Amino acid sequence: MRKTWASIAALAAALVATGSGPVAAREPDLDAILTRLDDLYRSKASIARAEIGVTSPRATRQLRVKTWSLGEDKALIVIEAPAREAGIATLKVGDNLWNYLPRIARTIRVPASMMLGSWMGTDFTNDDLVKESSYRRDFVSRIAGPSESPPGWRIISEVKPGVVGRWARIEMLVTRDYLPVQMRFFDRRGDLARTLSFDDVRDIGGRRVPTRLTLVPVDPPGQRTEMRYLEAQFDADVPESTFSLTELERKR
Amino acid sequence: MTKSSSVIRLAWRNLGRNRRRTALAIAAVAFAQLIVLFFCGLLNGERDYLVDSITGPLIGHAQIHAAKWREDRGVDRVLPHASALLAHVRADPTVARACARVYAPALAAVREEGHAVVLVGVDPEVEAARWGMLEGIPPDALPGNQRVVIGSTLAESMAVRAGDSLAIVGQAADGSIANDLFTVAAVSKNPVDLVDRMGVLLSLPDAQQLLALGDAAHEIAVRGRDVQASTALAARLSADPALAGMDVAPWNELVPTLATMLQVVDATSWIILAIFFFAAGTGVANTLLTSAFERTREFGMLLALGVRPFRLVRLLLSEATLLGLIGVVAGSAVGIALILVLHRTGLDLTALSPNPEAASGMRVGGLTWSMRFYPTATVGDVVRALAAILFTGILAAVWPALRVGRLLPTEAMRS
Repeated sequence: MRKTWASIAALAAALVATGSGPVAAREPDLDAILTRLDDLYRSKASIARAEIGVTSPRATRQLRVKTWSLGEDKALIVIEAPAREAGIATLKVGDNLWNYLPRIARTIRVPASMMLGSWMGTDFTNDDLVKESSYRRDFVSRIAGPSESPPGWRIISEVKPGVVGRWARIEMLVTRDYLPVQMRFFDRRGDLARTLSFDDVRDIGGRRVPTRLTLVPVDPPGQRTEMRYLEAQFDADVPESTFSLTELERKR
Repeated sequence: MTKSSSVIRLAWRNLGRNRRRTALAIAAVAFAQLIVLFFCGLLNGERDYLVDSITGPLIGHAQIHAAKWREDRGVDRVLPHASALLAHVRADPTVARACARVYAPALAAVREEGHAVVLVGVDPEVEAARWGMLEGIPPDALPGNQRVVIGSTLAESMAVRAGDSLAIVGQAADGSIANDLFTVAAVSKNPVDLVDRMGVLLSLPDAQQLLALGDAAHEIAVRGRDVQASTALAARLSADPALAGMDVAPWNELVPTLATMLQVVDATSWIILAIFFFAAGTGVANTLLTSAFERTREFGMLLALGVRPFRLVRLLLSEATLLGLIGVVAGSAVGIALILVLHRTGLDLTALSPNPEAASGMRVGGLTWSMRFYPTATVGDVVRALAAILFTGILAAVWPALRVGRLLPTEAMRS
C-alpha cells in the first residue's frame, strides 16, 4: 500500500513538474494563442508607418502609409507616397468606410456592395479593414498537431454558425512563441482563397512581432501584396477627434 | 392539239361553269397564301429586330480585344495604339463602322454615398450615330471635356440630375488610384440594360486620361454590312496580321446565351408558322373537298357517258392546279404588297403590349422585343409558301379524285 501511494505521489509530482515547465514541450494554451493573434497589432491606440507593395505579373506598385487606430472600432490610413497619391485616406468608424481624395476634395463612403473589393488596389479587401472578427470569438479552434519546420503548432479554426463573414475555415501555423507564421483562408465553398505569411520578426514599438505580412491570393494567379511595418507605437496617445470626416478633409 | 392542252382547256371550262364555287376555292387558296406569307413576314421582322437589339449598340457584329481581356476585364489588358488599329480596321471594305471603347469599374458619388459603377469611354462623334451607344442624345449633351452621361436607372438610384458634379474613383491601368470630378451632362435611357443600370459614359479621351491609358483602349466594336456575315467578318479580321495575338470574336460568341435564345425563338417561330400553315391549309382542303363532293353526281354522269376514270382524275387534278396557281399568285401579290407597305410604315401593335408607354420595347427572357412590326420576306419565303400551299391544294384534290375514279356511275348519280 505504501509503495502504491509513493508511486502515485511520484507520478503526480512528475506531472506537476513537467506541467510547469517551458511551454515548448507541452500542450499549448490555445486560448492564449488566439488572444495573442487577435491582439498582435492592436492596442488601445496605435500609430504606425508601413510600406505596401503590390506585385502582379504585369506591374508593381509601392505605397507608404501612415496608420492610426483606436481600439477595434476606429482606424485611419493615409497614403504618404508616391507623391501622386499622397493624401488619399481611408477612414474606418465601426462598420463604415470612407475614402478621401484630396485632389478632388471629396469624401466618399464605400458602399456595402464594394466591401469585398480591393482596398486601394491591393489584395487586401475593404472588408479586411472593416471587419472586427476575432479568432477567439468567431471561430471554434483546435490544435491539429505539432509542426516541425518551423517548430510550432498547426491550428484549425472553423467559423461558428451564425457568424457573418467570408471565411469558413482558417488553417494556421504558429511558432512556439505563439507568433503566426502562416494562415490559409478557406471560403464558404471550402476552397483555398488566399495565404497570409508572417515573417521578419523584430522588436517594434516595444513588441516583438512579425513585421512583414505577405498576402497571396489564389485568384488572380501571380499576384501578391506585401505589407512591411516600418515603425509602430502601441498604446500611443491618439485623440478621438482624429477619426472624423472633418478631420479627414483637413490636409494632412 | 395535244392531250394535255385539251385537258387544261377542259379544266378551265369546268372552272368557269360554276363561277361562285371556283371563286370561293380561289379565295380560300389566296387567303391561305396571304396568311402564311404575312405571318412569315411578321416573324422575320421581329427576328431582325431581336438581332439588331442584340448586336447593336453594345455588341456590334464582332469585337476585338486584347488576349484574356474577356476573362478578367483587367484595366491593364489593353489594345495599344488604338487609334492606329481603328484606322486599320476601318480601311477594311467589309467594315461599315468601327469604334474604340474603354471599360473600367469605379466608385461614383454625387454626395457622400458611393455607388459601384462601370465607366464606359466612347467616341462621342461615332457613337451618336445610329446603332451607337449615344444614339438619341442631343449634341450639346454628349460626353466630353469632363462631362459625362449617366444611365437613367443609375441616375435614379443615385438621385443624380443633369448639372450635378460627380466624383469618380477607380484604379488606373498602372495600378494607381484614379480620381476626378465630372459634370453630369445628361441622364439618358440607354438601350443597353447594363449601361442603363450601372453605366457612366465618358468621352474616350476623358476615360483614357483618367485611367492613364494614353492611346490604348479595351475594345473595338465592329459593324459589317450584313449581320448574317458576322462570323466571316470576325474570321477575316482575325487573319489580319495587324491583329495578331488579339482576341477577335463574332457577336454570337460574345453573347452565346443570347445567340442560343435566338435559336429558341427561331424554333418557336417555325412552330407558329407551321400552325398558321396548318390552319390555312385546312381551309384550302376543306373548300376543295367540299366542292369535289358537291360534284359527285356530275362525275357519275361523266363516267356513265364513257369518260375513263383515269381521265377524270387527270381533269380534276388539272382543275386543282389551275385553281391553286391563280390563288397563290393572287395571295402572293396581296401579301407582298402588304409587306412592302408595312415595312415602310410599320405595324404598330404597342397598344396590345402590357406597357404601351415603353417606346423602345419590352425585355423578355433577356431579349428586347418590339410591338412595332416591320415585316420583311425574301423571295425564298414567297416561293416556299407558294409551293406549300399549292401542294396542299393539289393534295386536297387528290383524294376525292381517286375516290371518283373508283365510283360506279350508278352510285354516283344516285348520291
